Amino acid sequence: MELEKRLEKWDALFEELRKVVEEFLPTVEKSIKEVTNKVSELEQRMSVFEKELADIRMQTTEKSQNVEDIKNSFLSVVEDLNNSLNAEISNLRNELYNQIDELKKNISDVGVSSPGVDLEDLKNLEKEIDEVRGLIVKLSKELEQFRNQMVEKHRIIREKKVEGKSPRIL
Amino acid sequence: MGEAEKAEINEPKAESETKSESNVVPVGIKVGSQRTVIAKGNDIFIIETCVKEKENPITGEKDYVIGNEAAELYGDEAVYMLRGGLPGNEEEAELLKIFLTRVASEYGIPENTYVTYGIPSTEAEEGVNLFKKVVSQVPLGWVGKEVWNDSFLSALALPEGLGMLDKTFVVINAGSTTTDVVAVRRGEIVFSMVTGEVSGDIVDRWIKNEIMNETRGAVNIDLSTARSYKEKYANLKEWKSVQETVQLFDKGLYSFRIDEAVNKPVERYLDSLVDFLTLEFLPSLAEFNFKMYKKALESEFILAGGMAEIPGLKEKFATKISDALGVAITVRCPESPLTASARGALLISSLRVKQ
Repeated sequence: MELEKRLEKWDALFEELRKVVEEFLPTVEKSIKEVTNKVSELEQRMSVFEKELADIRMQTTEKSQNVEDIKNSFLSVVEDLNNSLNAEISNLRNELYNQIDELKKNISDVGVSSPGVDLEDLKNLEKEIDEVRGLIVKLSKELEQFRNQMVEKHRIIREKKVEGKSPRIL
Repeated sequence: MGEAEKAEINEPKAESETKSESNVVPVGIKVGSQRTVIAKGNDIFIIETCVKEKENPITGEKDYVIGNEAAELYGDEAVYMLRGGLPGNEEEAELLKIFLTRVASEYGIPENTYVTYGIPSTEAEEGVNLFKKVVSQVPLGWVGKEVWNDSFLSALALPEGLGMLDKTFVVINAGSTTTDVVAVRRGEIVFSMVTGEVSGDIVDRWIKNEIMNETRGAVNIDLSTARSYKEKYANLKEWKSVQETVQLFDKGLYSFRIDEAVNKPVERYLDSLVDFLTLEFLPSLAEFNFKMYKKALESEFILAGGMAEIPGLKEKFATKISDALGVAITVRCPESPLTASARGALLISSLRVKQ
């Protein structure tokens, strides 16, 4: 009797074990396989992302360099433009002064050789010419100021400091 | 002595006791492209940072007129030697040296001083080196000298004083040639940006252009006049109609409104400032240090510098930046934002003298 009971018990255990082996283990194996596949898939995607990130990093570095280059070339263009503008204005100013001096000389000649000419009008003309001369000088100064300001402004268009540091400089 | 603007500042009693114990005088100096502010004891001197070289007609010797006198007498002919708050070359450094030497003598600042200087944050090593060279040569600060970031110093001018060293905050130093923004965490500058695109002198140019447009070219003021209009009439709290009259060649007396010509550029400046903060500074800060960015949005924004003196600017700035960021931002201003840097510098010098 006792032996039968023990055998029954062993049979029941064997049945359970058979269930585990036939049903549970395959399920576990299947899950493991799925997880393994997913992991390798994720690893592949990760390496793709890493590659893309490296590319983006390189592009960003290139672009920053490009921006820097563009900024520098823009600055030099502005500088050249300012220099040529200044030179042009200087030339025009000198030419105008020469012409004013010549005109003045002619006016005084006219005054002497044609006493009938209205001297009042000539004096007014001379006054206007002097005013124009003054305006040109003022304009030159303003342009010089503006040039200095713009060159300086573009030099410090963007300055970024990204280190944590003490507010004490020296 | 040249023209000087004096203001009362509160000093702890201990400092006057200390001053009497030793003869060392603590001084704070904020050197700016447009104005230099000196804080010494209870006095504040605001001086135009300019120099005019002239020749003595009798002796032929070179002489210099400096500061407010030079600006008043010579207008746009006076040379403002600094760019972005620092000398750019040896020539400008030499002019700065002459300026500071004469300022020391004209404003009675003795040699036995401990001087703290405030200068802008900058990557320009050359400028900082030239500045260092100048301060070592002028007859000031012979007991000791230090150079600090001027935006940070502005924050020390708040009632908390040195208590600000325990706080996290953002300082927006709205100056004449640059706007300097620094994010500070417990006495350390975590991140800073400087821009020349948003500044007081651009506002001056806009005002000049507005007046030219309004008067159809009849009135062409210079930049220093534009600046004085801005300082006198800019008011974002209450917009009052202000008429100006000039004598025009061939037209006689001519009247025009300057309130619109002044306040519109200031509003435009404010929009640019908010854009700079929300579209450039804060995104860059977020990219660099996200934790600090989040902390900054919860902390105080301190508005300092000459532009912050405009009535109503602080309130309008607070509204605009809160709207732009979608969070309520607390904006504070030290009393007299123009002189805050120098007063913060004086606090440091006083501390050193006490020590």
